[in-house]
Parts: sequence; C-alpha cells; structure tokens
Amino acid sequence: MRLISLELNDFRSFYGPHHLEFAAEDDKRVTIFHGENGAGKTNLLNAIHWCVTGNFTPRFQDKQLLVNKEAYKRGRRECFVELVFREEDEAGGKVYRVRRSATNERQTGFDVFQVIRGNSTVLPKGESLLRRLLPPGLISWFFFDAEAIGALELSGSESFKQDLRKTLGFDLVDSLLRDLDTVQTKRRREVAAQTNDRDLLAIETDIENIDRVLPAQYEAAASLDRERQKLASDLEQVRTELAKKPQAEPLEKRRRAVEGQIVKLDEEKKLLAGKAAQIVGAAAPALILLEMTKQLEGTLEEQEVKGSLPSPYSDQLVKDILSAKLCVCGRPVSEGSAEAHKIHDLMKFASTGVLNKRISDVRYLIRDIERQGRNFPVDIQTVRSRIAAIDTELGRLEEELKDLTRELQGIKMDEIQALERQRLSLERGREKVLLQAGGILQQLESNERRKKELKTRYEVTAKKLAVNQRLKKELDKTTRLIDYVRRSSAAQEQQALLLLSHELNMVLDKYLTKHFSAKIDAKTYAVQLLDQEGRKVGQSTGEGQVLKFAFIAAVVAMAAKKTQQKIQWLSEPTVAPLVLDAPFSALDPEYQGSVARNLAAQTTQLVLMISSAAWGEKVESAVKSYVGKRYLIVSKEAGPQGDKPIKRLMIKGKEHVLNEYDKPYAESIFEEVL
Amino acid sequence: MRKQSLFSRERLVYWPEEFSEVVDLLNGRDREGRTVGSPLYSFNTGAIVLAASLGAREKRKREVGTRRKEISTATFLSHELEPYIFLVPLLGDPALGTECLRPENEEQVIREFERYAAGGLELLAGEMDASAGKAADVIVQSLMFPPVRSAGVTDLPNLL
Repeated sequence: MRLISLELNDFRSFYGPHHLEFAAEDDKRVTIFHGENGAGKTNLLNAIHWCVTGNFTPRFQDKQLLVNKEAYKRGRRECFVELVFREEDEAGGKVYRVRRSATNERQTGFDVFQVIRGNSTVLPKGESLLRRLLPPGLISWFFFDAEAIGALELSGSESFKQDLRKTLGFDLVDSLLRDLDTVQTKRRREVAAQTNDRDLLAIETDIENIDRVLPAQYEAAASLDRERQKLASDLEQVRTELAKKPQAEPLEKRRRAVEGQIVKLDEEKKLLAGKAAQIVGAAAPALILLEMTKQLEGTLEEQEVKGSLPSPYSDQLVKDILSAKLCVCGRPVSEGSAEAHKIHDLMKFASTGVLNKRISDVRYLIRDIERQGRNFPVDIQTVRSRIAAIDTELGRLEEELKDLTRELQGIKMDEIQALERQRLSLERGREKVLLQAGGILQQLESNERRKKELKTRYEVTAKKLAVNQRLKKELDKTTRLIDYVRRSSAAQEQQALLLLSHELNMVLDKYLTKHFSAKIDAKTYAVQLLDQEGRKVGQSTGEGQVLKFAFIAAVVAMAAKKTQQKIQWLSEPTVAPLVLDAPFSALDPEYQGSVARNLAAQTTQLVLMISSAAWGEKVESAVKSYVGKRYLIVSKEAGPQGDKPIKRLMIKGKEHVLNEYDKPYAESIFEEVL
Repeated sequence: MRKQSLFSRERLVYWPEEFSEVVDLLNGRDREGRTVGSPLYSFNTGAIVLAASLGAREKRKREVGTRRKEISTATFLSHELEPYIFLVPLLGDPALGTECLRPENEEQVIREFERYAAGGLELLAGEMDASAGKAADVIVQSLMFPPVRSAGVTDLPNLL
C-alpha cells in the first residue's frame, strides 16, 4: 500500500482541518515533516496509526485527549482522521479511503471506502480489508516511533518470528499446513475406523486430543510474548523518564551500565561454562584411565621383551607353508602330519594385519591419553579461573546494583519514587510473564514431541493392518502434499533468511566503520551482531541501532522485491510504507546519513518526521533525490516568547521559522515547502 | 577420508536403557529432550566411553540386561572413539593380554566393554543422585581422579 493523502480535523495539536499529501511515486517516494520537539510529529504518526488500526503507538500519551483543546473549548467534541491510500499496482492498484472519528470518550465512526474515479463506495467489510492489507501485528514494523528502536527486539522471540513470517507472507503457508493437518487427521480417523484396530484408534484419539489443545497453547504463548514485549516497552519508557530527572540521571545511567555489564558477563560465563564442560567431557575417559595405561604400557613392553607379543612371523607365512606343503627349511609338510599340526598351531601366535593394527591404534590412544593428562590441568584451570573471576565481578556488580536502587529509592522526590515503584512493579510483572511463558513453552514442546512420536507409532501400526486401498491412497496423498508444502516453504524460508543476511551484511559492510557482521539464526530468526573475532556485540550500541534500522529496511525491501536478488514468494508478502517518527535521534551522528540513504533506497515509500537537530547535511544529501513532498510542522504558542528560543531551519537557501509565540491559541500547522 | 574400522564387521554395542537419564544429562538434555546445563558430549558414544572407563578403573562390571539401547561400532568409529572398545577391557583385566585383540575375540571384547560401561553408568547414576544440583561437568571432573585413600587408618579405641 502507498499513502496518498491525509485529512486531520481537530486531532490533538492540530486545530481545525488540515490536508496533507504524500510523495507516492517510485522515483519520488520520500515525504519529510520537519518539526521541533512538541510540535506534533508523534501526533501525526499516531493520526495515521490510529486511522488504520484504531490503536496508538506504545509511547503515545494521554490517549483519552484526542480532540484539540482549543476546539473543545469552542464546543467541538469530535475529531476525525481520513487517510487515502492505494494498493500496490501488482495487487490491483485500487484506491481506498479510511475515515475514523472519535470524541475524547469513545470512537464514533469508522468507515472504509473504495474510491473509483473520485466516487467513494463504502465497503461492508472494510476492517477485514485493512487487516488483510496490513495485518495488525505488523503495524509496529511499518509505523513506528523510532526513538523506541532500542526496544525493538531481534532476539528471536516467538512473536518476533511470527511477525517476520507474516511480513514475508509465510503465515498463509502456515495456515495451509494447518488445514492439511486437519485433513490428515480426518483421513487417519477414517483408516482407524475402517480397520477398527484398538491400538490405532487409541493412538488417533491421543493425536486428536493433542491437536485440540495445541492452538490454544500457541495462542497463549504468543499472547504472553506480546505482553512481555509491552511490559518491556513500558519499562523502557519509565526508565527513560527516570533518566530525564536531574537527580536520578547519573544513578539511572550507572544502573543501565551495570546491568549491561552483568548481561555481558553472564553471556561470557555461559560460553565459558560450555567450554569447561567440553574440556571435561573430552578429557574425562583419558584422565580416568591415565594411571592404568601407565601400567599397561609397562606390561606391553614386558610382553614384548618376553616375546609373547605377536611373533615376528605373520599368519600369511603359516598359510603359505601349509598350502605349499613345504617348510622354509625345505622339509615337506604333508597334510595331517604331526609337522602340519605343529605349524598349524603356530597360527595362534602369528601376527596378523588386524591384530597389528589394533595394537598400534591402542598404543596411539595411550599416547593420546598421556597427552591429554598433561594438557587437561592447564586447559581447565584457565577456563575455571576466568569463570571464578567473572563470578566475583558479578557479585560486585549485583551489590552495586542494589546500592544504586537503594540510592534511587532514597531520593526525596515523589515523582522519582513513583517512577521507581513503577519500574519495580513492571520488572516483577515481566518476570512473572517470563515464568508463565516458560511453562507454556515447555508444555508446547512436550505436546509437539509426543504428537510426533504418536504419528510414527500410528504409521508403524497402520502398516501391519489391512487398510482399504482407497483410504491408504488418500492418506498417502495428503502426507505427500504436506511434505511437499513443508519442503517448499522451508526452502523458501532458507532462501529468504540467506538473502536477508546478505542484505544486512552488505549494509553493515558499507556503512559501519568497524568490521562487524550480522548472523541470523535459522531456527528462531534471532539476529546477532558479531565483531571481527565473531564475538557478540550488544544491540544497544550505536552499531546495534544501525543493525535494527538495516534489518527493518531489508525486510521491507525483500517483501517489496526491491532487493537485488528477488524471491518468487509462495504467497504475497506485506508491502507497506515505512512511517518513522524521530528516526535518527537514537543513532550516532556518524551513522545518520548512511541509515537515511539505506532507508530511502530500500523502501517503496518513506515518511520521515524529523527535528532540525537530526536534520544535517549528511541526511539531506542522502535522501534529497528521493524527496517528493516536504512540510514544516510549525508550533504556535499562545503565551509570550520570554527567554524561549525561535527555532529556524534552512531549506534550499531559505530560512524557515519552526515556532511562533503570542498567538491567540496554541496549535500546530503544516506548511508545505516547495 | 573415512577411517577404516578396527572391527571385521559392523557390530552393536549395548547399554542399559535404565540409565538413559544419565546419558541424556551428559549430553546436556533432560528426560523430555530439553536443554539443561552445558553438554559434555554431543552424542551417546561419549557418555558410554566415559562410563566404561570409570567402570574399568573402579572394577565395576554388570550385565546389560534385556532392556537395552544400542550403538553401532561404526558410530564409535566416526566419533573417533573405537579404540576405547579394545583399550577398556585390556585395562580392566590386564591378564587378558594382547590375545584379546585377535579377530576371533572381538565379540567377547565388546561384551566386556559393555559390562564396564553398564557398571560405570550405575556409578555415574549414583554420583548424580548424590550430587543433585551440581553441574554434570563438575561431578565428572570430581570422578576423574581416583579418590585419595588414607594410608594409615587406625581403629577407633574402645571408648567403653
């Protein structure tokens, strides 16, 4: 979908009617809104977000005050937002108009119209259409408050994976597989009924029982995951608030730093614990046998001296003598003779190729055991010492964390104490949700495993029974179809992840000064930033933020087939504009230009709401050639200017004023910059 | 290049199913197949060789029994652990001598290795029960060195 225009009427800081148009052409696809803090950039983002979904972004405040205050004073009780958008040409290119209105208390209207040659026809199932074009779960991928990019998790949570699958269109394939699974269950039930075999029927009933609970368990897991994300986002917001208070700022900053160090050390400890276990595992048999092998070495040597080791003649020599019936000394050895028996007995002590090989391998193993005996103490000591040092450091940091929390709680300011209480309560809430989610995931895994086992048992049991040929054929057909869809989907998923990884690494390679790379876990979709030595880099770093922007841009580009390499999707992915509020404020200035260039190049349509502080030469030159529409959001204040500064912005050599004072009432207006 | 087996043909090594939990724990999994702790081994072969070594050192042998699991000698070969199947019986009973390495004795060698492995698994299970809560690698590391036995144990004096 592409945004065409937006009407606002008495919505939040925008008094009266306002009309905006978006750049929606392939070559001119970027729309910029310049506005200072408090001018209404977040209100604008939320106007679009609310119009499409009926909800707001997580950090949007005072959601119950939608009607512009001045309009309210004048007796107007309703506001509305109207958005016109167009489907992508490949999807039909139809034009739609969505209108949502509300008072401060409730929503008063919602309609979706199809626009044909200027005439609007209301669509009876408008909400479903919107859901199809932009699934609710994906809104946060396309319309978002970029200051909150830190909260975007690329950690591979279940909801993250599901959202990504939906964006890339895999949810339809998943739904097809679920339907096929239902068909297969039905066929299995028919087979069981036809054979009337007690075991088969019992297995089938067990499978059906699991099938009945699985959807609810998946839904519960996804819902808990969403709840966890919401709590994490709220927590982040409270902590940002806390960090803004002058008295709390240094303590909160230090607390974040300490928590970051704890996470890093925990990860290092986990890696080292894994390494220690591997060292112990590899060396344990050797170390257990070490003393005994020393004795065996002695015995082997002794036996060798005594000549009881395999004799210096081979079994082949004995065989040759017996077959030629002639001893090496020239005497005949006739079959059945005493000589022949004696020579035959020599076979017991003759050396054989196999025996020699075994002795040589056992000796080699003994040498290896001795080597491990020498190396193990040093190897394990190095790792265990580092673990002990980390434990000491972790103890110290946890104590410091407690002290910092105590200090924060001790600040005699109601606001800070309230925020601190809120933070604590949110953290407890998050822990509770994590615990619940862990339980659900365990049940899910156990049920999935049991279902797999039951299916195998079903097949083994069914094979032994005389099943009607037609039913057997039907069941085989469904199984083959499921297998085919699953394989095709897995192949496409692998291709998509490879392409995504390639695109990400291309961006990182091009824009980061450091040699970092990104790795995507094929199972969980978790994205990890790695340094040159392959060590994990925290996602809260400047480079981590670049990774998040690059990831979103790459996903959007891949869905829109804008990447260099294209994928023939099994089902169409979601194509939508990227609307970002304050996109670069969370980024290091050195990366702002490159991220802007990448976003502009990768998206089908880009809307940026940006302050003058984040609008530098680098950003301007990066997006200049793509910009089709540009607006100022001018903030007009009712009170006198006093000591407050006037913010100005130079565009194409002309100076523009972004805030004004001494106006009859407070409002924000849009001014198009030509 | 695939290494050549020391066995004349592929054979099966059995171990008692009752110790599946011990083997799983050494592989970093619980009974349900979930990841628990850091794995000492990636495959069952590692755990069985460890158990057999422990059984040989502690002279603990037992029969595998009828409820058993199997691993092919080819798997031991691919994990480069095959020579342990010969070494463990040799060490467990030095009187066997190198004669036990002859091709005609390989079935007996395997059975002897299995008995030590079963005995070792029994020991490991006991240790894990006694040290519940400790990481598997810590438990195994404590078993790597033979316990130091006090040289001069004196009888308790008659206190009555």
